[in-house]
Amino acid sequence: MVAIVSRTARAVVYVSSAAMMLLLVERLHWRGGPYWAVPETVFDHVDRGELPLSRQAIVMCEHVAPLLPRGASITVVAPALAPNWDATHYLTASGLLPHQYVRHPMFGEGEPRADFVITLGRPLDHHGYRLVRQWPEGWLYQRK
Amino acid sequence: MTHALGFAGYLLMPLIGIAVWRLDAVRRLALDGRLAIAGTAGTLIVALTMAGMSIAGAHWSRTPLVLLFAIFACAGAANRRIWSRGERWPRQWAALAGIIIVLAITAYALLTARETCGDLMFFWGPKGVHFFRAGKIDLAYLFDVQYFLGHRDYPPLLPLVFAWSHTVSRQFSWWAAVLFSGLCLAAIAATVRAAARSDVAGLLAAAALACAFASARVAGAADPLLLLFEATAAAALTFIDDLRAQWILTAIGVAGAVLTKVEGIAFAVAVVVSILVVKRSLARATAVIPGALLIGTWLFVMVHYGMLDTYAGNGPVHLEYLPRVLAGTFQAAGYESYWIPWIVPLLVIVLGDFRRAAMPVAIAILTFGATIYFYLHGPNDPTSWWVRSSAPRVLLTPLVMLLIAAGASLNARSSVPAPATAPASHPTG
Repeated sequence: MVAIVSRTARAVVYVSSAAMMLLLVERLHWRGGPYWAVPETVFDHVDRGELPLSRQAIVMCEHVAPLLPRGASITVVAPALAPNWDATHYLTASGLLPHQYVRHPMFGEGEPRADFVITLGRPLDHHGYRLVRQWPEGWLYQRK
Repeated sequence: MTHALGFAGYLLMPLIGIAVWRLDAVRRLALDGRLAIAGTAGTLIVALTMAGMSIAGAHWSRTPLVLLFAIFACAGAANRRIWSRGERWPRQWAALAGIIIVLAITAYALLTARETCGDLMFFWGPKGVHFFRAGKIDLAYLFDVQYFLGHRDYPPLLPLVFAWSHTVSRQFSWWAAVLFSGLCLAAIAATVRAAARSDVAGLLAAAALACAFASARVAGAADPLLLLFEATAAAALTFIDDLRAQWILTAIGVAGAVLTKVEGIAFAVAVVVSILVVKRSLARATAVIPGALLIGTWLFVMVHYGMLDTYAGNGPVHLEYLPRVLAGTFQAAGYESYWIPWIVPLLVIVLGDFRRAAMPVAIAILTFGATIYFYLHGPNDPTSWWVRSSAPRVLLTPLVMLLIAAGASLNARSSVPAPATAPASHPTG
Protein backbone atom coordinates (compact mmCIF):
# COMPACT_ATOMS: atom_id res chain seq x y z
CA MET A 1 0.00 0.00 0.00
CA VAL A 2 2.82 2.40 0.97
CA ALA A 3 4.61 1.66 -2.29
CA ILE A 4 1.47 2.38 -4.32
CA VAL A 5 0.91 5.70 -2.53
CA SER A 6 4.57 6.59 -2.99
CA ARG A 7 4.43 5.77 -6.71
CA THR A 8 1.24 7.82 -7.03
CA ALA A 9 2.90 10.82 -5.36
CA ARG A 10 5.87 10.56 -7.69
CA ALA A 11 3.60 10.29 -10.73
CA VAL A 12 1.71 13.38 -9.58
CA VAL A 13 5.00 15.28 -9.30
CA TYR A 14 6.21 14.24 -12.75
CA VAL A 15 2.94 15.10 -14.49
CA SER A 16 2.48 18.39 -12.66
CA SER A 17 6.12 19.42 -13.20
CA ALA A 18 5.71 18.85 -16.93
CA ALA A 19 2.55 20.96 -16.83
CA MET A 20 4.30 23.73 -14.88
CA MET A 21 7.17 23.74 -17.39
CA LEU A 22 4.70 24.17 -20.25
CA LEU A 23 2.91 26.97 -18.41
CA LEU A 24 6.26 28.62 -17.71
CA VAL A 25 7.25 28.52 -21.37
CA GLU A 26 3.83 29.84 -22.38
CA ARG A 27 4.16 32.70 -19.87
CA LEU A 28 7.61 33.65 -21.13
CA HIS A 29 6.42 33.46 -24.74
CA TRP A 30 3.46 35.70 -23.90
CA ARG A 31 5.84 38.46 -22.80
CA GLY A 32 6.79 38.93 -26.43
CA GLY A 33 9.77 38.77 -28.76
CA PRO A 34 12.35 39.01 -30.03
CA TYR A 35 13.05 35.72 -28.31
CA TRP A 36 16.69 35.10 -29.17
CA ALA A 37 18.16 38.60 -29.40
CA VAL A 38 20.32 39.91 -26.56
CA PRO A 39 18.21 42.54 -24.79
CA GLU A 40 19.55 46.05 -24.31
CA THR A 41 18.47 46.32 -20.67
CA VAL A 42 17.38 44.03 -17.83
CA PHE A 43 13.86 45.43 -18.26
CA ASP A 44 13.24 44.79 -21.95
CA HIS A 45 10.68 41.97 -21.74
CA VAL A 46 9.14 42.20 -18.29
CA ASP A 47 5.77 42.76 -19.90
CA ARG A 48 3.99 42.46 -23.20
CA GLY A 49 3.42 45.39 -25.52
CA GLU A 50 5.17 48.76 -25.58
CA LEU A 51 8.55 49.06 -23.93
CA PRO A 52 8.01 50.25 -20.33
CA LEU A 53 9.20 53.71 -19.33
CA SER A 54 11.42 52.06 -16.70
CA ARG A 55 13.34 50.50 -19.56
CA GLN A 56 13.56 53.85 -21.36
CA ALA A 57 14.90 55.41 -18.15
CA ILE A 58 17.78 52.92 -18.10
CA VAL A 59 18.67 53.59 -21.75
CA MET A 60 18.42 57.36 -21.28
CA CYS A 61 20.76 57.25 -18.28
CA GLU A 62 23.30 55.41 -20.43
CA HIS A 63 22.89 58.02 -23.19
CA VAL A 64 23.30 61.07 -20.98
CA ALA A 65 25.98 59.82 -18.57
CA PRO A 66 28.94 60.95 -20.78
CA LEU A 67 27.35 64.40 -21.30
CA LEU A 68 26.85 65.32 -17.66
CA PRO A 69 29.42 67.06 -15.49
CA ARG A 70 30.39 65.28 -12.26
CA GLY A 71 28.35 66.43 -9.31
CA ALA A 72 25.57 67.95 -11.43
CA SER A 73 22.08 67.44 -10.10
CA ILE A 74 19.60 65.64 -12.29
CA THR A 75 16.14 64.16 -12.12
CA VAL A 76 14.06 61.89 -14.32
CA VAL A 77 10.35 62.39 -14.95
CA ALA A 78 7.46 61.05 -16.96
CA PRO A 79 5.60 64.32 -17.82
CA ALA A 80 2.42 62.41 -18.64
CA LEU A 81 2.15 61.52 -14.97
CA ALA A 82 2.54 65.06 -13.57
CA PRO A 83 2.35 66.20 -10.83
CA ASN A 84 3.52 62.84 -9.43
CA TRP A 85 6.00 62.40 -12.36
CA ASP A 86 6.40 58.68 -11.47
CA ALA A 87 9.10 58.77 -8.82
CA THR A 88 10.43 55.32 -9.68
CA HIS A 89 12.41 56.72 -12.62
CA TYR A 90 14.62 59.04 -10.60
CA LEU A 91 15.28 56.16 -8.20
CA THR A 92 16.42 54.10 -11.19
CA ALA A 93 18.75 56.91 -12.23
CA SER A 94 20.29 57.04 -8.74
CA GLY A 95 21.89 53.66 -9.42
CA LEU A 96 22.89 54.39 -13.00
CA LEU A 97 24.30 57.90 -12.58
CA PRO A 98 26.43 57.56 -9.44
CA HIS A 99 28.69 60.47 -10.44
CA GLN A 100 25.75 62.88 -10.38
CA TYR A 101 23.38 63.91 -7.63
CA VAL A 102 20.01 62.46 -8.56
CA ARG A 103 17.11 64.24 -6.93
CA HIS A 104 13.41 63.81 -6.46
CA PRO A 105 11.55 65.78 -9.20
CA MET A 106 10.48 69.26 -8.11
CA PHE A 107 9.28 71.99 -10.46
CA GLY A 108 7.16 74.25 -8.25
CA GLU A 109 7.87 77.94 -7.73
CA GLY A 110 10.58 78.41 -5.10
CA GLU A 111 11.47 74.70 -5.03
CA PRO A 112 15.10 73.71 -5.67
CA ARG A 113 15.37 72.50 -9.24
CA ALA A 114 17.81 70.00 -10.70
CA ASP A 115 20.51 71.16 -13.16
CA PHE A 116 19.34 68.59 -15.70
CA VAL A 117 16.08 66.79 -16.39
CA ILE A 118 15.51 63.61 -18.36
CA THR A 119 11.97 63.20 -19.60
CA LEU A 120 10.39 59.95 -20.70
CA GLY A 121 7.39 59.43 -22.95
CA ARG A 122 6.93 63.08 -23.90
CA PRO A 123 8.94 66.35 -23.88
CA LEU A 124 9.05 68.75 -20.94
CA ASP A 125 6.98 71.91 -21.09
CA HIS A 126 8.74 74.15 -18.59
CA HIS A 127 10.05 77.70 -19.12
CA GLY A 128 12.99 77.12 -16.79
CA TYR A 129 14.66 74.45 -18.95
CA ARG A 130 16.09 74.26 -22.47
CA LEU A 131 16.41 71.14 -24.62
CA VAL A 132 19.95 69.75 -24.86
CA ARG A 133 19.38 66.64 -26.91
CA GLN A 134 16.74 64.19 -27.95
CA TRP A 135 16.86 60.38 -28.36
CA PRO A 136 14.14 57.92 -29.37
CA GLU A 137 13.83 56.97 -25.67
CA GLY A 138 13.54 60.48 -24.24
CA TRP A 139 14.79 64.06 -23.88
CA LEU A 140 17.57 65.76 -21.92
CA TYR A 141 17.02 69.33 -20.65
CA GLN A 142 19.31 71.78 -18.87
CA ARG A 143 18.27 74.51 -16.47
CA LYS A 144 18.39 77.98 -18.10
CA MET B 1 33.83 40.97 -18.84
CA THR B 2 32.08 43.10 -16.21
CA HIS B 3 29.15 40.70 -16.17
CA ALA B 4 31.35 37.60 -15.92
CA LEU B 5 33.33 39.11 -13.04
CA GLY B 6 30.20 40.38 -11.32
CA PHE B 7 28.66 36.92 -11.55
CA ALA B 8 31.91 35.33 -10.37
CA GLY B 9 31.50 37.33 -7.17
CA TYR B 10 28.30 35.37 -6.45
CA LEU B 11 29.81 32.06 -7.59
CA LEU B 12 32.56 32.45 -4.98
CA MET B 13 30.07 32.30 -2.09
CA PRO B 14 30.28 28.51 -1.56
CA LEU B 15 34.06 28.77 -1.29
CA ILE B 16 33.82 31.55 1.30
CA GLY B 17 31.32 29.56 3.35
CA ILE B 18 32.95 26.15 2.94
CA ALA B 19 33.57 25.92 6.69
CA VAL B 20 30.02 24.57 7.11
CA TRP B 21 31.22 21.38 5.38
CA ARG B 22 32.93 20.56 8.69
CA LEU B 23 29.51 19.69 10.05
CA ASP B 24 28.93 15.94 9.65
CA ALA B 25 25.31 16.51 8.71
CA VAL B 26 26.29 18.84 5.86
CA ARG B 27 29.17 16.67 4.70
CA ARG B 28 26.81 13.72 4.24
CA LEU B 29 24.60 15.64 1.80
CA ALA B 30 24.93 15.31 -1.96
CA LEU B 31 27.43 17.72 -3.53
CA ASP B 32 24.85 20.15 -4.91
CA GLY B 33 23.21 20.46 -1.50
CA ARG B 34 26.57 20.99 0.17
CA LEU B 35 27.44 23.71 -2.34
CA ALA B 36 24.07 25.38 -1.78
CA ILE B 37 24.43 25.43 2.00
CA ALA B 38 28.04 26.63 1.79
CA GLY B 39 26.86 29.35 -0.60
CA THR B 40 24.19 30.41 1.87
CA ALA B 41 26.74 30.57 4.67
CA GLY B 42 29.21 32.36 2.40
CA THR B 43 26.64 35.02 1.52
CA LEU B 44 26.03 35.72 5.20
CA ILE B 45 29.78 35.79 5.90
CA VAL B 46 30.36 38.29 3.07
CA ALA B 47 27.61 40.58 4.32
CA LEU B 48 28.65 40.40 7.97
CA THR B 49 32.32 40.96 7.15
CA MET B 50 31.55 44.03 5.07
CA ALA B 51 29.14 45.34 7.70
CA GLY B 52 31.75 44.71 10.41
CA MET B 53 34.42 46.59 8.43
CA SER B 54 31.96 49.41 7.94
CA ILE B 55 31.30 49.64 11.68
CA ALA B 56 35.04 49.50 12.38
CA GLY B 57 35.64 52.36 9.95
CA ALA B 58 37.72 50.24 7.55
CA HIS B 59 36.75 51.10 3.99
CA TRP B 60 36.21 48.22 1.58
CA SER B 61 38.41 47.71 -1.41
CA ARG B 62 39.16 44.73 -3.56
CA THR B 63 42.48 43.64 -2.01
CA PRO B 64 41.51 43.50 1.67
CA LEU B 65 38.15 41.91 0.91
CA VAL B 66 39.61 39.26 -1.40
CA LEU B 67 42.35 38.56 1.14
CA LEU B 68 39.89 38.24 4.00
CA PHE B 69 37.58 35.94 2.07
CA ALA B 70 40.51 33.87 0.83
CA ILE B 71 41.55 33.39 4.47
CA PHE B 72 38.00 32.29 5.35
CA ALA B 73 37.99 29.85 2.42
CA CYS B 74 41.41 28.40 3.24
CA ALA B 75 40.62 28.10 6.95
CA GLY B 76 37.31 26.45 6.14
CA ALA B 77 38.82 24.05 3.64
CA ALA B 78 41.85 23.13 5.79
CA ASN B 79 40.35 19.86 6.91
CA ARG B 80 40.71 16.72 4.83
CA ARG B 81 37.46 15.31 6.19
CA ILE B 82 35.39 17.88 4.40
CA TRP B 83 36.33 16.39 1.04
CA SER B 84 34.69 13.04 1.78
CA ARG B 85 31.94 12.04 -0.63
CA GLY B 86 28.36 12.80 0.18
CA GLU B 87 25.43 10.49 0.39
CA ARG B 88 24.04 8.66 -2.63
CA TRP B 89 20.61 7.25 -3.28
CA PRO B 90 18.98 5.58 -6.29
CA ARG B 91 18.93 8.22 -8.99
CA GLN B 92 15.69 9.26 -10.70
CA TRP B 93 17.18 10.28 -14.02
CA ALA B 94 13.93 11.67 -15.41
CA ALA B 95 13.66 13.97 -12.38
CA LEU B 96 17.28 15.10 -12.75
CA ALA B 97 16.70 15.83 -16.44
CA GLY B 98 13.58 17.77 -15.47
CA ILE B 99 15.53 19.89 -12.97
CA ILE B 100 18.12 20.73 -15.62
CA ILE B 101 15.41 21.69 -18.13
CA VAL B 102 13.64 23.91 -15.59
CA LEU B 103 16.88 25.67 -14.66
CA ALA B 104 17.75 26.13 -18.35
CA ILE B 105 14.34 27.72 -19.03
CA THR B 106 14.83 30.03 -16.04
CA ALA B 107 18.32 30.97 -17.22
CA TYR B 108 16.84 31.84 -20.62
CA ALA B 109 14.11 33.91 -18.96
CA LEU B 110 16.65 35.82 -16.87
CA LEU B 111 19.03 36.43 -19.77
CA THR B 112 16.22 37.74 -21.99
CA ALA B 113 15.03 40.10 -19.23
CA ARG B 114 11.64 38.45 -18.69
CA GLU B 115 11.63 38.15 -14.91
CA THR B 116 13.33 41.31 -13.67
CA CYS B 117 11.84 43.00 -10.61
CA GLY B 118 11.53 46.78 -10.55
CA ASP B 119 12.90 46.87 -7.00
CA LEU B 120 16.33 45.94 -8.37
CA MET B 121 16.43 49.20 -10.31
CA PHE B 122 14.57 51.32 -7.73
CA PHE B 123 16.50 50.62 -4.54
CA TRP B 124 18.35 47.30 -4.12
CA GLY B 125 20.76 47.97 -6.99
CA PRO B 126 21.25 51.72 -6.29
CA LYS B 127 21.99 50.95 -2.64
CA GLY B 128 24.61 48.39 -3.71
CA VAL B 129 26.20 50.90 -6.10
CA HIS B 130 26.33 53.68 -3.49
CA PHE B 131 27.61 51.34 -0.76
CA PHE B 132 30.43 50.30 -3.10
CA ARG B 133 31.32 53.87 -3.99
CA ALA B 134 31.33 54.94 -0.35
CA GLY B 135 33.33 51.83 0.64
CA LYS B 136 30.93 51.29 3.52
CA ILE B 137 27.25 51.12 4.44
CA ASP B 138 26.44 54.58 3.14
CA LEU B 139 24.16 56.05 5.80
CA ALA B 140 24.40 59.49 4.19
CA TYR B 141 22.83 58.05 1.04
CA LEU B 142 20.22 56.05 2.94
CA PHE B 143 19.20 59.01 5.07
CA ASP B 144 19.13 61.55 2.22
CA VAL B 145 15.55 62.77 2.05
CA GLN B 146 15.76 62.56 -1.77
CA TYR B 147 15.81 58.77 -1.46
CA PHE B 148 13.09 58.43 1.13
CA LEU B 149 11.12 56.27 -1.33
CA GLY B 150 14.07 53.84 -1.44
CA HIS B 151 13.12 52.41 1.99
CA ARG B 152 16.07 53.60 4.05
CA ASP B 153 15.53 51.13 6.91
CA TYR B 154 15.29 47.98 4.78
CA PRO B 155 17.93 45.52 6.02
CA PRO B 156 21.32 45.82 4.30
CA LEU B 157 22.31 42.26 3.36
CA LEU B 158 21.43 42.31 -0.35
CA PRO B 159 23.04 45.73 -1.04
CA LEU B 160 26.15 44.44 0.75
CA VAL B 161 26.22 41.35 -1.48
CA PHE B 162 25.73 43.59 -4.54
CA ALA B 163 28.58 45.79 -3.31
CA TRP B 164 30.80 42.68 -3.07
CA SER B 165 29.94 41.72 -6.67
CA HIS B 166 30.62 45.36 -7.65
CA THR B 167 34.00 45.13 -5.89
CA VAL B 168 34.93 42.07 -7.94
CA SER B 169 33.81 43.56 -11.27
CA ARG B 170 34.59 47.27 -10.62
CA GLN B 171 31.48 48.18 -12.69
CA PHE B 172 28.15 47.09 -11.22
CA SER B 173 26.64 44.34 -13.37
CA TRP B 174 22.85 44.53 -13.40
CA TRP B 175 22.80 41.31 -15.42
CA ALA B 176 24.83 39.46 -12.79
CA ALA B 177 22.37 40.71 -10.15
CA VAL B 178 19.51 39.30 -12.21
CA LEU B 179 21.31 35.97 -12.73
CA PHE B 180 22.00 35.74 -9.00
CA SER B 181 18.27 35.02 -8.59
CA GLY B 182 18.70 31.99 -10.84
CA LEU B 183 21.55 30.81 -8.62
CA CYS B 184 19.27 31.15 -5.59
CA LEU B 185 16.56 29.10 -7.33
CA ALA B 186 19.08 26.36 -8.19
CA ALA B 187 20.42 26.42 -4.63
CA ILE B 188 16.94 26.06 -3.11
CA ALA B 189 16.15 23.11 -5.39
CA ALA B 190 19.53 21.55 -4.51
CA THR B 191 18.93 22.04 -0.79
CA VAL B 192 15.50 20.38 -0.97
CA ARG B 193 16.80 17.55 -3.18
CA ALA B 194 19.86 16.82 -1.06
CA ALA B 195 18.15 17.20 2.32
CA ALA B 196 15.13 15.08 1.32
CA ARG B 197 17.39 12.68 -0.57
CA SER B 198 14.87 12.73 -3.38
CA ASP B 199 15.41 13.84 -6.97
CA VAL B 200 11.64 14.01 -7.36
CA ALA B 201 11.40 16.47 -4.45
CA GLY B 202 14.10 18.55 -6.15
CA LEU B 203 12.13 18.52 -9.40
CA LEU B 204 8.94 19.64 -7.69
CA ALA B 205 10.76 22.47 -5.90
CA ALA B 206 12.50 23.62 -9.09
CA ALA B 207 9.37 23.50 -11.29
CA ALA B 208 7.02 25.15 -8.80
CA LEU B 209 9.47 27.92 -7.89
CA ALA B 210 10.44 28.56 -11.53
CA CYS B 211 6.74 29.11 -12.32
CA ALA B 212 6.27 31.33 -9.28
CA PHE B 213 9.47 33.34 -9.92
CA ALA B 214 8.43 34.00 -13.51
CA SER B 215 4.93 35.06 -12.55
CA ALA B 216 6.04 37.21 -9.62
CA ARG B 217 9.03 38.67 -11.52
CA VAL B 218 11.47 38.44 -8.64
CA ALA B 219 14.80 38.52 -10.47
CA GLY B 220 17.21 40.97 -8.86
CA ALA B 221 14.98 41.56 -5.85
CA ALA B 222 15.69 40.33 -2.33
CA ASP B 223 13.06 37.58 -2.40
CA PRO B 224 15.15 34.80 -4.00
CA LEU B 225 17.92 35.30 -1.44
CA LEU B 226 15.41 35.50 1.40
CA LEU B 227 13.92 32.20 0.23
CA LEU B 228 17.35 30.58 0.10
CA PHE B 229 18.04 31.52 3.72
CA GLU B 230 14.57 30.40 4.75
CA ALA B 231 14.93 27.10 2.90
CA THR B 232 18.25 26.46 4.65
CA ALA B 233 16.73 27.02 8.09
CA ALA B 234 13.58 25.01 7.37
CA ALA B 235 15.49 22.14 5.75
CA ALA B 236 17.78 21.97 8.78
CA LEU B 237 14.82 21.84 11.15
CA THR B 238 13.05 19.26 8.99
CA PHE B 239 15.77 16.86 7.90
CA ILE B 240 18.78 17.20 10.21
CA ASP B 241 18.65 15.37 13.52
CA ASP B 242 22.13 16.32 14.77
CA LEU B 243 21.27 19.12 17.21
CA ARG B 244 24.50 21.07 16.79
CA ALA B 245 24.36 21.08 12.99
CA GLN B 246 20.65 21.85 13.07
CA TRP B 247 21.21 24.78 15.43
CA ILE B 248 24.03 26.26 13.33
CA LEU B 249 22.20 25.95 10.00
CA THR B 250 18.96 27.30 11.46
CA ALA B 251 20.88 30.22 12.94
CA ILE B 252 22.51 30.94 9.56
CA GLY B 253 19.17 30.74 7.76
CA VAL B 254 17.28 32.90 10.23
CA ALA B 255 20.07 35.49 10.52
CA GLY B 256 20.29 35.76 6.75
CA ALA B 257 16.52 36.03 6.41
CA VAL B 258 16.07 38.85 8.93
CA LEU B 259 18.97 40.77 7.36
CA THR B 260 17.59 40.37 3.84
CA LYS B 261 13.96 41.51 4.01
CA VAL B 262 11.48 42.91 6.48
CA GLU B 263 9.46 39.71 6.11
CA GLY B 264 12.43 37.83 7.58
CA ILE B 265 11.28 38.84 11.05
CA ALA B 266 7.89 37.21 10.50
CA PHE B 267 9.75 34.10 9.35
CA ALA B 268 11.93 34.13 12.49
CA VAL B 269 8.87 34.40 14.73
CA ALA B 270 7.21 31.56 12.78
CA VAL B 271 10.33 29.42 13.29
CA VAL B 272 10.32 30.03 17.05
CA VAL B 273 6.60 29.26 17.40
CA SER B 274 6.89 26.16 15.19
CA ILE B 275 9.85 24.82 17.17
CA LEU B 276 8.01 25.35 20.44
CA VAL B 277 4.79 23.76 19.15
CA VAL B 278 6.13 20.93 16.97
CA LYS B 279 9.45 20.08 18.60
CA ARG B 280 8.64 21.37 22.10
CA SER B 281 12.23 22.48 22.56
CA LEU B 282 13.34 25.81 23.94
CA ALA B 283 17.00 24.99 23.26
CA ARG B 284 16.40 24.65 19.50
CA ALA B 285 14.47 27.92 19.47
CA THR B 286 17.60 29.75 20.66
CA ALA B 287 18.88 29.44 17.08
CA VAL B 288 17.06 32.68 16.27
CA ILE B 289 19.10 34.64 18.83
CA PRO B 290 22.04 35.51 16.52
CA GLY B 291 19.59 36.81 13.91
CA ALA B 292 17.68 38.76 16.55
CA LEU B 293 20.90 40.42 17.74
CA LEU B 294 21.95 41.32 14.18
CA ILE B 295 18.64 42.83 13.10
CA GLY B 296 18.39 44.44 16.54
CA THR B 297 21.68 46.22 15.89
CA TRP B 298 20.45 47.45 12.51
CA LEU B 299 17.19 48.70 13.98
CA PHE B 300 19.05 50.34 16.86
CA VAL B 301 21.03 52.37 14.32
CA MET B 302 17.80 53.35 12.54
CA VAL B 303 16.11 54.35 15.80
CA HIS B 304 19.23 56.22 16.94
CA TYR B 305 19.14 58.40 13.81
CA GLY B 306 15.34 58.66 13.85
CA MET B 307 15.11 56.89 10.51
CA LEU B 308 12.76 54.03 11.32
CA ASP B 309 10.14 53.80 8.59
CA THR B 310 8.89 50.43 7.35
CA TYR B 311 9.53 48.66 10.66
CA ALA B 312 7.46 51.27 12.47
CA GLY B 313 4.29 49.63 11.15
CA ASN B 314 1.20 50.94 9.44
CA GLY B 315 -1.27 51.54 12.22
CA PRO B 316 -4.39 49.71 13.38
CA VAL B 317 -5.93 46.55 11.95
CA HIS B 318 -8.79 47.02 9.48
CA LEU B 319 -10.83 43.85 9.78
CA GLU B 320 -13.25 45.18 7.18
CA TYR B 321 -10.53 44.53 4.59
CA LEU B 322 -10.41 40.81 5.42
CA PRO B 323 -12.72 39.41 2.69
CA ARG B 324 -11.05 41.47 -0.03
CA VAL B 325 -7.55 40.78 1.30
CA LEU B 326 -8.24 37.05 1.31
CA ALA B 327 -9.71 37.15 -2.18
CA GLY B 328 -6.83 39.28 -3.52
CA THR B 329 -4.20 37.09 -1.88
CA PHE B 330 -5.84 33.92 -3.24
CA GLN B 331 -5.88 35.46 -6.71
CA ALA B 332 -2.20 36.43 -6.49
CA ALA B 333 -1.26 32.93 -5.31
CA GLY B 334 -2.35 31.44 -8.63
CA TYR B 335 1.00 32.37 -10.21
CA GLU B 336 -0.73 32.26 -13.61
CA SER B 337 -0.41 28.48 -13.23
CA TYR B 338 -3.86 27.55 -11.95
CA TRP B 339 -2.50 27.19 -8.38
CA ILE B 340 -0.59 24.03 -9.41
CA PRO B 341 2.54 25.11 -7.45
CA TRP B 342 0.39 24.93 -4.27
CA ILE B 343 -1.91 22.04 -5.10
CA VAL B 344 0.82 19.52 -5.88
CA PRO B 345 2.90 19.85 -2.68
CA LEU B 346 -0.32 19.78 -0.63
CA LEU B 347 -1.37 16.60 -2.45
CA VAL B 348 2.04 15.02 -1.89
CA ILE B 349 1.91 15.89 1.81
CA VAL B 350 -1.53 14.31 2.12
CA LEU B 351 -0.37 11.16 0.29
CA GLY B 352 2.83 10.85 2.32
CA ASP B 353 3.87 10.64 5.95
CA PHE B 354 2.98 13.91 7.66
CA ARG B 355 5.20 13.49 10.74
CA ARG B 356 8.41 14.97 9.37
CA ALA B 357 6.46 17.48 7.28
CA ALA B 358 4.84 19.02 10.35
CA MET B 359 7.62 21.55 10.96
CA PRO B 360 7.65 23.26 7.51
CA VAL B 361 3.85 23.02 7.32
CA ALA B 362 3.62 24.91 10.63
CA ILE B 363 5.99 27.60 9.32
CA ALA B 364 3.97 27.81 6.09
CA ILE B 365 0.71 28.34 7.99
CA LEU B 366 2.25 30.97 10.28
CA THR B 367 3.96 32.94 7.52
CA PHE B 368 0.79 32.87 5.43
CA GLY B 369 -1.15 34.12 8.45
CA ALA B 370 1.45 36.85 9.01
CA THR B 371 1.04 37.98 5.40
CA ILE B 372 -2.72 38.37 5.82
CA TYR B 373 -2.21 40.10 9.17
CA PHE B 374 0.13 42.70 7.65
CA TYR B 375 -2.21 43.34 4.73
CA LEU B 376 -4.95 44.23 7.22
CA HIS B 377 -2.75 47.06 8.53
CA GLY B 378 -2.70 49.05 5.31
CA PRO B 379 -3.44 52.77 5.68
CA ASN B 380 -5.47 52.55 2.49
CA ASP B 381 -7.44 49.69 1.06
CA PRO B 382 -4.61 47.19 0.54
CA THR B 383 -6.38 45.43 -2.31
CA SER B 384 -6.12 48.57 -4.43
CA TRP B 385 -2.44 48.01 -5.15
CA TRP B 386 -0.48 46.55 -2.25
CA VAL B 387 -1.74 42.96 -2.37
CA ARG B 388 -1.49 42.74 -6.16
CA SER B 389 2.07 44.05 -6.19
CA SER B 390 3.50 42.26 -3.17
CA ALA B 391 1.52 39.06 -2.53
CA PRO B 392 3.04 37.04 -5.40
CA ARG B 393 6.47 37.62 -3.86
CA VAL B 394 5.60 37.45 -0.15
CA LEU B 395 3.67 34.19 -0.64
CA LEU B 396 6.83 32.52 -1.92
CA THR B 397 7.85 31.87 1.70
CA PRO B 398 4.89 29.62 2.58
CA LEU B 399 5.25 28.04 -0.87
CA VAL B 400 8.88 27.10 -0.22
CA MET B 401 7.89 25.69 3.17
CA LEU B 402 5.24 23.50 1.52
CA LEU B 403 7.77 22.31 -1.05
CA ILE B 404 10.14 21.31 1.77
CA ALA B 405 7.25 19.57 3.52
CA ALA B 406 6.47 17.73 0.28
CA GLY B 407 10.11 16.66 0.13
CA ALA B 408 9.80 15.26 3.64
CA SER B 409 6.61 13.43 2.70
CA LEU B 410 8.07 12.04 -0.50
CA ASN B 411 10.77 10.36 1.52
CA ALA B 412 9.43 10.17 5.05
CA ARG B 413 12.39 8.21 6.26
CA SER B 414 14.83 10.78 4.98
CA SER B 415 16.85 12.48 7.65
CA VAL B 416 20.46 13.30 8.29
CA PRO B 417 20.87 11.67 11.66
CA ALA B 418 23.07 12.67 14.54
CA PRO B 419 26.58 11.20 14.23
CA ALA B 420 26.10 8.93 17.24
CA THR B 421 23.00 7.35 15.77
CA ALA B 422 24.03 7.20 12.13
CA PRO B 423 23.23 3.76 10.76
CA ALA B 424 26.18 1.91 9.32
CA SER B 425 24.37 1.46 6.01
CA HIS B 426 24.63 5.18 5.20
CA PRO B 427 27.26 5.38 2.49
CA THR B 428 28.97 8.46 3.85
CA GLY B 429 32.16 7.78 1.94
